[in-house]
Amino acid sequence: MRIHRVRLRNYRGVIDNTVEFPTEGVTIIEGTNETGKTCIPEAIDLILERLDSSRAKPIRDVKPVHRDEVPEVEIEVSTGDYRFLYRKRWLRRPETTLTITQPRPEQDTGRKAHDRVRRILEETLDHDLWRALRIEQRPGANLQVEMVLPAFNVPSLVEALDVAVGGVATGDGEDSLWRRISEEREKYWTATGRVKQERYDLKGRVEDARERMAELKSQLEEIELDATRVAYLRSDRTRLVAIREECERTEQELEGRRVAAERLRGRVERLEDAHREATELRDRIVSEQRRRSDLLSAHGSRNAELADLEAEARRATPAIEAAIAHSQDAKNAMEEAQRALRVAEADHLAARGDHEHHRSLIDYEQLQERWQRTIDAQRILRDTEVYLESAKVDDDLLSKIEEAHLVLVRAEAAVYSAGARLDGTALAAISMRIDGDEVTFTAGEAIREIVTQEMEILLPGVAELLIRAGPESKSLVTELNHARQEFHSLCASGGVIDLAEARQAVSDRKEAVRNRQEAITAIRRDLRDLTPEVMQEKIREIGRRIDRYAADRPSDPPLPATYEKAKHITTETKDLLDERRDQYRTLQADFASAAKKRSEQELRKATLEVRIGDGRHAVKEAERLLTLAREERSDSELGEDLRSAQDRVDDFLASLVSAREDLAVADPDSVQILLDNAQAASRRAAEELRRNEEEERELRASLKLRGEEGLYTRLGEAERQLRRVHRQYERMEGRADAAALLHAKFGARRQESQLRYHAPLTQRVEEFGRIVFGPDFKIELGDNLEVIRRTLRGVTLDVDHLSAGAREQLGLLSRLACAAIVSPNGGGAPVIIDDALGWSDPDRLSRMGAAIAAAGLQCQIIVLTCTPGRYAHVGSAKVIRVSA
Amino acid sequence: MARFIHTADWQLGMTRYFLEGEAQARFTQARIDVIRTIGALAEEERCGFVVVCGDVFESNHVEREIVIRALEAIGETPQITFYLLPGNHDPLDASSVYRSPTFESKRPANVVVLDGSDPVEAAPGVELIPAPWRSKDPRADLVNRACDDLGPTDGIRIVVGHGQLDWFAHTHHNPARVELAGLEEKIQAGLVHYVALGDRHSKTEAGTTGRIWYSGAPEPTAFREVDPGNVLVVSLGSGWVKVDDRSVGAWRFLSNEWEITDDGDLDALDEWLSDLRPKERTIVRIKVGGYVSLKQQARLGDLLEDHDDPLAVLEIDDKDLLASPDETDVEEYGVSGFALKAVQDLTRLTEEGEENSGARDALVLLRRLIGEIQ
Repeated sequence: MRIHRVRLRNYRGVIDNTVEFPTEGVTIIEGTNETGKTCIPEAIDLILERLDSSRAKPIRDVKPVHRDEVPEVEIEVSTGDYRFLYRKRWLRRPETTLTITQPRPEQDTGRKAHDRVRRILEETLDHDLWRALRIEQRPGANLQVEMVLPAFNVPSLVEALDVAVGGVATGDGEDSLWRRISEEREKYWTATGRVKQERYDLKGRVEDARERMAELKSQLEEIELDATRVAYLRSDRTRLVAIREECERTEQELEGRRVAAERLRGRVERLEDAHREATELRDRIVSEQRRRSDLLSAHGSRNAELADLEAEARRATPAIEAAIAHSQDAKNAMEEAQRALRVAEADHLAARGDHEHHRSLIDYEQLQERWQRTIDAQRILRDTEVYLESAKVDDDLLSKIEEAHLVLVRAEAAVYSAGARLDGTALAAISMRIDGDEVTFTAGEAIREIVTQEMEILLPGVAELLIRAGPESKSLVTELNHARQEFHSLCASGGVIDLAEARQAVSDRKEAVRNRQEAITAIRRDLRDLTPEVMQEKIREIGRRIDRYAADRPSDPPLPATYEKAKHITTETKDLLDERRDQYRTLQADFASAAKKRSEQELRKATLEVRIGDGRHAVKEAERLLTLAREERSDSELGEDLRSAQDRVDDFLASLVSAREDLAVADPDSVQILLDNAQAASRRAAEELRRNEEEERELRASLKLRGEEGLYTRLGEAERQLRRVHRQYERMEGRADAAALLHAKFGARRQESQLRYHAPLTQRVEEFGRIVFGPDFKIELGDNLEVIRRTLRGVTLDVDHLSAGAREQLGLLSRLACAAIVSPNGGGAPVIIDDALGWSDPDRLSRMGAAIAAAGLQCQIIVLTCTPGRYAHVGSAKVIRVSA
Repeated sequence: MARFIHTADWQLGMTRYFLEGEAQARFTQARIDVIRTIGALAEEERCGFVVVCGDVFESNHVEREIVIRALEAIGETPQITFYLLPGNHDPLDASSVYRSPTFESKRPANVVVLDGSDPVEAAPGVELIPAPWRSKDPRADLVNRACDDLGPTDGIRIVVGHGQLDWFAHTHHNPARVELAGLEEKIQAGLVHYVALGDRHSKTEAGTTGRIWYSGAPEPTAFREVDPGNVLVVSLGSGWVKVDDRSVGAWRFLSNEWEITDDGDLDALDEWLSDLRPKERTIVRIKVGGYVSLKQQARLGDLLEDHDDPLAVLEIDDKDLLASPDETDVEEYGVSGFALKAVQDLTRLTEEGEENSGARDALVLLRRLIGEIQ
C-alpha cells in the first residue's frame, strides 16, 4: 500500500495543505513543532475509520477552534491493484466521495464509498494488522510515559490489535476492548475463574432476606395457630365441663353401691372366720386320731423288727468263727515264708559283695598298667620336646646348607683348576715358613698350596720366595672364600660342622617328631577321659576299697577263688532269692484276703448287736407313748369329739355359701374399679379444664404482646427486601455469566489470531535487527507478540533490562516488521515514524538509518521530525519540509 | 330516612412486594388519607355515619403506628360515627387488632367496633345488623345467620356483612359463602332494607333488589380489580333506596401488553408511558413481546429505565421478547479481526435457541463496553 497524497482542509490549525509523498522508499517530513506534521497520521485514521456522520469526540477535536469551518481530509492511495482518491467532510454537510481510477474507473459516495474503501483494504491488506500498526504509531497511543519517552516502548502488537479489532478510534481514555472485557470479567470472577466474594456476599444477603421472611411468616403462622387454638379452647371448655359433671354424678352412684357391697363383704369375712375355726378344731381331732393309730402301728412294727434281728444274729455265728481260724493259718504261713526270704537276701548280698570285690581287683590292675604306660609316654614326650627345642636343622636349613656346599665345591674346583697353585715335592725333610706359619714337610711329601694373592715362603737360610697370584686367580679365591664363609655360617646356625652332620641332624629330628606323636597318642589312649590326677585318685580309691572289703569280710565261707566263681555264686543266690520272694508275696496276699473276710464277719456281728439293742429300745418307747396318749383321751372319747366338730363345720359352711352368693351379686371389685375410674375421669376432666383455662389465659397474654409487634408490616418489608436483593443478585449473576462468555469467546479468538502473526513477525524483526545489531541478533516474542527478550553475541537479556535506546530501536524495528507483513502479497503498508530514535547514540542511529532504508524497499516509510539531522543516515530518503 | 356511607376493604397497612423505597410509604399513607376523604365526604353528603364492611386492616398484625394514624384520621370528623366490622383479614379472634391495647387506648369516641351479634342503633330508627368474622375460616354463612332471628320492624335495618356471595361462581366450595337468595327474601319480607357488603374490591351491585352492594375498596390493591377507588353514598327511605358512588382513590394499577417489532412500536410505548398521570401513584405492569434487534432491545431498556423512576412501580415482563443481533448490530459493533469472529460466534449461539440467552446478554454487554470506550 502507498499513500501518494494527503490534503487537509480546516483541520485543526491547518487551513488547506497538501503533502505529496514519493511512492518509493523513505520520506522525511521536516518541520518545527506545531506545523501540523502529526495531523497527517491522525487524518489518515479519521478518514479510514470514521463515517462522515460521526460526531464523536475525535472528530470534534480536529474542528478548527476559532473558525466556523468543518474538517475535510482527502487522500490518494494505491493498494493492491487499486488506486483511488478518497475524501471526507464531517460535522456539517457531511460528505464522502470515492474515485477509483485503477484497475477500472469507479465512483461512490456516502456510506457506500466508506464501505467500498473498507472492502478494498480488507481485500489487499491484513486490515487489522495495519490498523494495529497505525494505532501503535499514533502519537500518544499505547504508552503511559509518552510525554517522557516519546515512541519509546517496545510495542505490544497484540495490544494494538486488541484496540484495532475493537473498532475504536483515537481519543482520550482510549482503551482496548479486550482489556475492557477482561476488566468486566474480573468484576465477577477471580483470576482462577472462581466466583468473587461480592457475589457470594450478595447471595448471602438473599439467603438472609429469605430467612428473615420465613422467620416472620413462621411467627405470623404461629400467632394464627395460637388464635385458632384459643377459639378451640373456648369451644372445648363446654365439653370439658359436661364431662366433669357427668363424672361426678357417676362417682356418687358408685359410692353408694360400694358401701352396700362392703357391708356384705364384712358378713362373709365373719362367716369365713367362724368356719375356719370350726374346721381347725375338727382337723385337730382328726390329727389326734391319726396319731393314735400311728402309735399302735409303730408298736407292732418295732416288735417284729427286733425278732428278725435276733434270728439273723444266730444265723451268722458259724461263718464268723470259720473266718477267724482261716485268717490265723494264713498269717502263720506268711511269717514262715518271710523268714526264708530274709535268709536268701543275706546270701545273695554276700555273694554280690564277693563278685564286686573281684571286679575291683581287676580294675585296679588294669588302671595300674595304664598309669605306667602313661608315665613312660610322658617321659618320652618331654625328652623329644627338649631335643626338638635344641635341634635347629630342619629340611629348609638342610637344603640351604646343601646348596651352599655345592657352591663351595664348585668354587674350590674353580680355584684348583684355574687359580695360582704351588705344587712341589719335598726332596728332603724340610721346614719352611709359609706366610709366616712354620710348616714342615717330610721327604717325598708333596707340597701343595693354593696362592690366593701373595704367598711368602721363607726357606730359612736358603731363600725367601714371594709367589704372586694373577688377578683372575684372586677373584676365584675371593669367591671361594665367600662360598666357604657362607657354608660355614649356615652350618654354624644349625649347630653342625658339615653337610653329613647336618643330614644326620635332620634325620634325628624326624625321628624325634615321630616319637613325640606316638607318646601323645599313647597318653590319650590310656588316660581316655581322665586327667592324670583323676586316674591316680581313682587307683587309690579302688585300692582302699579292696583293702576295706578284705578286712571286713568274714572268713567263712571263704572268698571264691576267681572272678568267674564269684559271679556264678551270685547268679545262684539271686535265683533262690527271687523264688523266696514270689512265695512270700503269694502267702502275703492269701493272708490279706483271709484277714479281710474275718474283718467283714466281725463287723457284721457288731452291727447286728447294735441293731438288736436299738430294736429293744424302740419297742419300749412305743409302748410308753401309747400308754401316755390313752391316759389323756381314750380311743372312744376321741371318736365322739370328732363327730361333734364335723357338725359345726357343716353348719358354718352353709351360711358362708349363701353370704358369698349375695356378695357376688353386689360385685364390690367391679364397683370399686368403676368408682376409681369415675374418680380418675372426674379428676382428669377437672385437670383438663384447668389446663384449658390456663392455656387460654397464657395464649391471650402472649397474643396481646405479640400483636403489638406489627409482624405483618415487618413481613411486607422483608418481602420487599428479599425482592430487592434477589433482583440485584439475578442481575449480577446475569452480568457475570455474560462477562464470562464474552471473555471466553474473545479469548479463544484472540489467541488464535496471535498464533498467526508470531512466526512472520519474528522473522522480519530479526531481518531488520541484524542490520542494526549484527548477524547474531535474535529476539523472542511473548504471548502478546511483544518483544520480551533480545539475544546478542550469545547474551540473552529481558527487554526490561535493555537501555532506553535499545528498547526504542526494538520498538521501531517491530513497527517496520509489522508494516512489512501487512500486505499478504508484498508491498507492505506505510509506516509513519513520529520523531523516534531520540535516545539512540550516533552509531546506532546510523545503523537504524540503514535499517529504515532497507525497510523502505519493502514498504512506504514516512518520518515526521522536528530534528532535521536525526535521519541523515537514511541514505535514500527524500525530504519534504513543511512550515506553519 | 337514613343516609350513610358504605365502604369496605380499607386494607390498612397493606404492603406490596413490588413497591420499592419510599413508594411503599406513599402507598400506605394514601390509605390513611382516604379515611379523611371519606370523613369529609360524609360531612359533605350529610351522612349520619359510615359503615366499613370488613377488612379495615390488612392484618391483625399491622404496625401499631398504622392503627394509631388510622384512628386519628377517623377522629378528625368526630360527628361522623364509623362502624368497623371485623372481616377475614382482621377477624375478631384472640389476636384481634380491635382488642389490642393500642386500639383500645387510642380509639376515638366516633369509632364503634361491630363485635357482637346484637343489632346496633346507628341513628334513631336505624339498626345495624352486624355479621363480624370471629375467625379466618368460619364454616357458615355469617350474614344470613345474623338475620335469622329478625322479626318485623318499623325502622330501617342495614345488614353490615363481609364475604363472597354465592352469586359468584367461584364460591361454591366455600362454606362461608353468603346466600344471595336468603338476603333477597329478607329484603322482600321487609326484615332488612340494605345489605352493605365488603370483601370484593370492585364496586358491585348484587341481585335484583338494588339493595345489596359491594362498595369496593376506596384505594386499589391489585391489577385485577375492575372498578376500585370508590365509596357508596346510600340513602334509604320508606320503600326506596338510592346508591351513588363517589371516587375517592388516588392510586392506579395499570397493566398493558405491547408487541414490539420496530422502532415505531418503541415510540408508541414511550408515548404511552409519558402520558400516564399521576406517575408517582401509578403502578404499571407491562408485558412486552415481539422480535427485536439488540439495538432495539438496548433502546427498550433505556426507555424503560427513563420511565422507571417517575412511576411508583414499573414492572416489566419481557419473557416473550426475543432479541437477536441482526446485520446492523454486528456492523455497529465496529469490530474486525478476532473480535469480529468472536461476535459472529456469539451471534451463532443466539440463533441456536432460547437456552442461549447468555450469548445475547454477552452481546448486549459488548455493546455497552464499546459504548464506554467510545
